[in-house]
Amino acid sequence: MTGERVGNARPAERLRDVAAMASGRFTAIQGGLDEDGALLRAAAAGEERAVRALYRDHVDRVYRCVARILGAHDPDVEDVVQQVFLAALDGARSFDGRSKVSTWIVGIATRRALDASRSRWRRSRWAKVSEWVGLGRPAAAPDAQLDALGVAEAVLAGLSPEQRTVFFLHSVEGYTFKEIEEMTGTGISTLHARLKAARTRIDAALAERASDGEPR
Amino acid sequence: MSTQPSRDALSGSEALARVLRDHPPAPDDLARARMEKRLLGAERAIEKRAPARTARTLIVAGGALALAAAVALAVLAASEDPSAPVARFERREATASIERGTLEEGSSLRTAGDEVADIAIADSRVRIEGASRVRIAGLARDRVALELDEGTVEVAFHPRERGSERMTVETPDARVEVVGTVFRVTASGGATEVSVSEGTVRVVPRSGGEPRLVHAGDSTRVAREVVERVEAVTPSAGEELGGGDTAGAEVAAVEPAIAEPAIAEPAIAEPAIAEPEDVEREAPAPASTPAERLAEARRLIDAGRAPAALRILRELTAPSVPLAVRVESWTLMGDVHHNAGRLHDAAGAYESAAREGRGTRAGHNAIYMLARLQHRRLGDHDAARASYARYLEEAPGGALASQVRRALCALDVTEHCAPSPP
Repeated sequence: MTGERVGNARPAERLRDVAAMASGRFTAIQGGLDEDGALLRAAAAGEERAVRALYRDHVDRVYRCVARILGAHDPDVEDVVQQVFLAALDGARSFDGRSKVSTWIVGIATRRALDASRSRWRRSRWAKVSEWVGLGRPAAAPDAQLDALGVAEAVLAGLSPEQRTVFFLHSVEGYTFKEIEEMTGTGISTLHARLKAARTRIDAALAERASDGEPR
Repeated sequence: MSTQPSRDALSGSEALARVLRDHPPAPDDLARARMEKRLLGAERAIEKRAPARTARTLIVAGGALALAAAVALAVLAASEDPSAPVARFERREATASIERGTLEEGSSLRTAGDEVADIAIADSRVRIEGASRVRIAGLARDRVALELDEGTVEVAFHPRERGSERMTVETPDARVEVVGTVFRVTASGGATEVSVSEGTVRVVPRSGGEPRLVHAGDSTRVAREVVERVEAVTPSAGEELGGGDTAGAEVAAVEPAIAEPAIAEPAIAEPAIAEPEDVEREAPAPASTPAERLAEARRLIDAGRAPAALRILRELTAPSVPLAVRVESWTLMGDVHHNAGRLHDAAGAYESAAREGRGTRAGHNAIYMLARLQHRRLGDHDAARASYARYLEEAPGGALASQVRRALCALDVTEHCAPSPP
């Protein structure tokens, strides 16, 4: 299938494909936008092969970001990923090439996932009732406690969405504070504070689990 | 365990970050394909956001292509309005594309026995199989209409705003109405057969017989005189709903369909890949009470399997189901839609729960959920005020009354800004 060929082709070959996709309607390639930028523009113009290529290039990164912020097993992850790509295509004109397309898209993913995460309390009216009366979030499924990843995800879920986001982007994904600032629009000092709070909370949660005899 | 967070050498947070880094969540192949298909399904919306000049250029170019293909395509009518909606088509023989272009409202497309054609119309993808003849009767975004004179069409219709967009396929024997689904219609030999892969369609026989809702996994055959049920993979309570609610009302509103993401390629090039849920759905369902089915739906929701849960919940809204379960099912459907971002569907479900549960605590809660949705998510403050007021009218001493009053106060209904009674 031609769409797959675009996604898997070597850069130069793919650039030619992208140029063909744009069909002369965009001058981005000649104008200096890099390959990813040109691909983004072609995708935004509705070129199906470009949409496929863009999706395949970035879906793992976007999915990872959304799943870490919302929770790996959250049923809305796919919907949010979908919204991220649609938002990227919709807002392609605002991409100015100052950052990498991947960083720009992760920024969109971060904001979308944060929005969804902040309204997580709406997930279930039972959860809502629990929160209203101060019972907190429901415990993780027992089998989720059995391995290190389950513990890590449970502890991550215990952070606020904002803390979780900065911890994930900085400590897990390795983005700089400057990049995270651009992605989230949050000042660097605030990001520092949130990261520190997140680490403190994680350490405390792990210590508590250790003292309870649970696997860490 | 080697991946266990440890503070021997690293701090707890560093070890936890390493574990998360070493185990990145990734979509499985099915999810990958599903998301890609959904994204591509929205492609036309993106095109519409391109500059008008580009759109006009495309339309003009497409019109020229359509003209060039006129011999093969028998274009019967064409609008000269450059802003008129068009459908894009590609006609193929085996795997080779032999024609591409646009079709306007009133156009017809005929395929030879060894050809297929794929058409993109608004939010629909239509595959026209060999030896078929289809007329594009309507191309408005909110109402797409096809007339299938003979042959087979397979339709994937996934509107972005469910409820505001409709599609119909008319055959000499029946009209098939949908709001979002994947289905197949074959008109042949004085009968029409409709089979549904996803969601629900409504089939209205031209002979005047009872309209029928056909759900995913079901098919119906409509002969000139009778409607004959030929296959039922999963018995559905919705069928009873459809018959009861729509008898004699040929143009009644279509039952909202639950369209789950499909896996097939967007051009419907291949049969849809069965999701794990689909496999489970086709297994014989154990007999169970409505309450047990409701519990099962809850379990599925908790497991993140909202589409499967929705199928059960829809069944549980049938009139034969006890009222409490019905109300609860509508409410849970509202929650699922809400969480999936289908806000208007959620509002509809909450409204149904409120209506059916009138005078009960569950009904009052549903009103509250509806009001919150209108207030916080839809931003429809007038509707939210009305719903909050409705709550207070029905349950002035309800458990949520104080929150409702605070919300009304926040919405500038100042009479509720006084401190709530203890």
